[in-house]
Amino acid sequence: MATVDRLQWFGWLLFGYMALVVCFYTFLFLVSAVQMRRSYRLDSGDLHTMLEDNTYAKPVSILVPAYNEEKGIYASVRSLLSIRYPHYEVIVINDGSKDHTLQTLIEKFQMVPVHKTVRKQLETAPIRAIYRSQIHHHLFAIDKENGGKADALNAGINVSRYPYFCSLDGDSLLEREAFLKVMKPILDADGDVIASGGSVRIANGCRIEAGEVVSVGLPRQPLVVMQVIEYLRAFLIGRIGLSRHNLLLIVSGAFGVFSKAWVVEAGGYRKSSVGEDMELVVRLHRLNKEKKQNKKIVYIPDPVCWTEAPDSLKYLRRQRNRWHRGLFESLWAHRRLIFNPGYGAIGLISMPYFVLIELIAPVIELLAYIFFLIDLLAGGIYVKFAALLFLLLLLYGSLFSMFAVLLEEWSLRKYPKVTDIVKLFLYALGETLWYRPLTVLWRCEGLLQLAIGKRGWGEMKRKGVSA
Amino acid sequence: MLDTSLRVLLAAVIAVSAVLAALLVYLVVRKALDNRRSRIVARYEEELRVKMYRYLQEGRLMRNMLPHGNRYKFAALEALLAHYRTLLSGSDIQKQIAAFAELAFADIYRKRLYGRQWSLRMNTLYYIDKFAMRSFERELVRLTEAGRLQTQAEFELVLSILASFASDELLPLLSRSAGRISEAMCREILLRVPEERFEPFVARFDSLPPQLQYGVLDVIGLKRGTERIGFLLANLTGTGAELRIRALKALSQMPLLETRADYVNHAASDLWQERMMAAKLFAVVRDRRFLPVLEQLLADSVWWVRQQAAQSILSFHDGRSVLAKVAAFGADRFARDTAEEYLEKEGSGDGDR
Repeated sequence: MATVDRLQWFGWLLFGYMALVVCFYTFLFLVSAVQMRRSYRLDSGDLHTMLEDNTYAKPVSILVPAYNEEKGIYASVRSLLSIRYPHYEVIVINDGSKDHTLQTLIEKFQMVPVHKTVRKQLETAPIRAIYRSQIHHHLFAIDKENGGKADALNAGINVSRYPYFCSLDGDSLLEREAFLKVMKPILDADGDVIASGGSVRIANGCRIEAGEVVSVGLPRQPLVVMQVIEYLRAFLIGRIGLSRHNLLLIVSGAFGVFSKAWVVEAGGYRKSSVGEDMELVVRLHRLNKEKKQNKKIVYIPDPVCWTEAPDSLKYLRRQRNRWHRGLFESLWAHRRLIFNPGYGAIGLISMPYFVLIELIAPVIELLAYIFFLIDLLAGGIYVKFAALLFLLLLLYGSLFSMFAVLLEEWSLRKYPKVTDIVKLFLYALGETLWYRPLTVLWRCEGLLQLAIGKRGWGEMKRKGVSA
Repeated sequence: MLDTSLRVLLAAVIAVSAVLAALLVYLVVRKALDNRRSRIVARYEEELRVKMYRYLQEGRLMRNMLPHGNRYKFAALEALLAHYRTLLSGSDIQKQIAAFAELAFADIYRKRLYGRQWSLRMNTLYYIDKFAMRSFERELVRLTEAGRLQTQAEFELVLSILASFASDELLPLLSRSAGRISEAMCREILLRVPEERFEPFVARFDSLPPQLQYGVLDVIGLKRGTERIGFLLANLTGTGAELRIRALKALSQMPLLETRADYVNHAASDLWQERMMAAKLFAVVRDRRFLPVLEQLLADSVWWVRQQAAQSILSFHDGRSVLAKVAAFGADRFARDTAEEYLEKEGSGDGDR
């Protein structure tokens, strides 16, 4: 009897935790929904005025760290050279690739070594040479010894000439107007916005020609459709909700613009971290509070950066357990902020949210699966209880996914067909049955790897978005 | 206890399922209606394209060209007119566009300006701006006065439109609310003010709030307003550092500028921004007396000043040899490095600045 009692207590505990999670997500959804509904069908207006004269447009350095990206690098650099922005430079950082990333760049863009005074504001692994394209004078490449993504970005910051920089993954494509849109809050705010991020969407399933997405569609593989849904949820519900109250702790490493002065003052990207993008944003928030400034970090849904999602279990698993280790490391490095009223809402809401909900959720969920299993084996009166709870969970998961689709329909409306909506709905229903348990396992695995001291990225294989 | 919790759970399951089902129906119906709407609008656009073009060319309204309460047709006409507005130039055509918009859209727009939906109000303002519907001028002024504009974005857009309309009310409005709008926005609004309305901003310069003063100086520079060089020079002698820097920046954008010996004072300023702007100015006046000053600035402690100095030296016809000399024999390491970097850039034909 005692075990059964204990089981029941555990069941209620789980239930309570889920209620908390659901409440918080509902809150985020409501905030996002109000925001999206307000700007329903808003014309983004004329961006042309910003292009007229570049004397006052703030120039941006686009940093593209590349490690073994020979397949995708040409296409993504190509697409960067034709974006609409009055004044920018592109700096590709070859982080000691073992393939022909650098040679590809040198050949395709006729790059030659140049002498350049580098203001070494951040420590990095040694730079071997800096190249400049003879065809596109605003295109540079840095060849350096391998030091990881954070190190590569720091080297890019040192070499860059302009007051703002944008970090961009070597395998992603920017929409042509994306840059103007992501820079707009920075331009409008007279320096009050120190970082601004856009949306990241999955390019698999879209038709891409000459470095541009020409038509949007859903991918065929179920594994990738699940990720599409996940991204919709994360960006449309999570980020908008958090950004509204300056609670945002993540500006995607795949597409974000930062004020260089602030990042340098904060010490640049941290090398030991695998989640360097989140860690940096937390540090910026921290600096902001410590300097008693009132700077903002914003997210804007409209500018879109398309990226390639892993389409095999193997690479998705690596990505997810890496993300989770990164999350832990960022939170651990800044554990002082958690529930610290000195850091305002960041300390009291954002950090606890990421610890209590994002970080330990997979552990609780894993326990829940085990609980159901034991419960089923124990048989008897708890079977119905467990089955219903499971059903509720399943439906609730799909509900949030569909809320995200709703927000998408109110705002960007990238998916043109009615069948797309139905497809998304069906997949969202199935998520709890197979996809979610998998990600839970992978994330728990990430935590386990941390416990036994595994570091590093694990290599990713890219086919190249435009291949 | 178990029974109750089962019942609660069951109720929750049913409720969530109902919401999900409703959501699905809503999304699918909406998408279908949306697609239908865009198809109909596209058809109207096709139908009206030629008529609209001929109207704009010949000024003669054809049959069935007004929306008459048909909202699809309204949307199609709006889109077409906006399309031609960016495609065709010429003041006659702009007038035709405004006339058509006043005839076909003004009544609806007047209602929409007071609607509940923010995005619809914003879109309406965009169109009023785009089609230059001047009949709205008084209405817009009234909107700002009554404090009816609910958001910052609307307020800024209304000011921009009033600037394009050359409204007399702009100056007092801007003076009163300069603290409310960002510098970049201020500049953008002032850039829209037509030349004949810009004079009062210069005439009353001293009584304007600083934010607006900066904007005025910036805009003179952006428009390369050579007739106001005297005014800019007068601002170089003031004690306000920011005004001096802005005036220098504006002067450095002039296509032609006479030299003055006292420019050199700015190269000795304590503020690096002022030294940088001085270096920039020397590139415009190209007075050889300033070459040695620029060489000194090549060794400045601030990176930006050194970069600008190198760039300015290159604008002299023998700039390359000056830089080569510094690169080879310069006493300062910073100066040598910067010189060398710019010589290489020049060699590769730097085209991006």
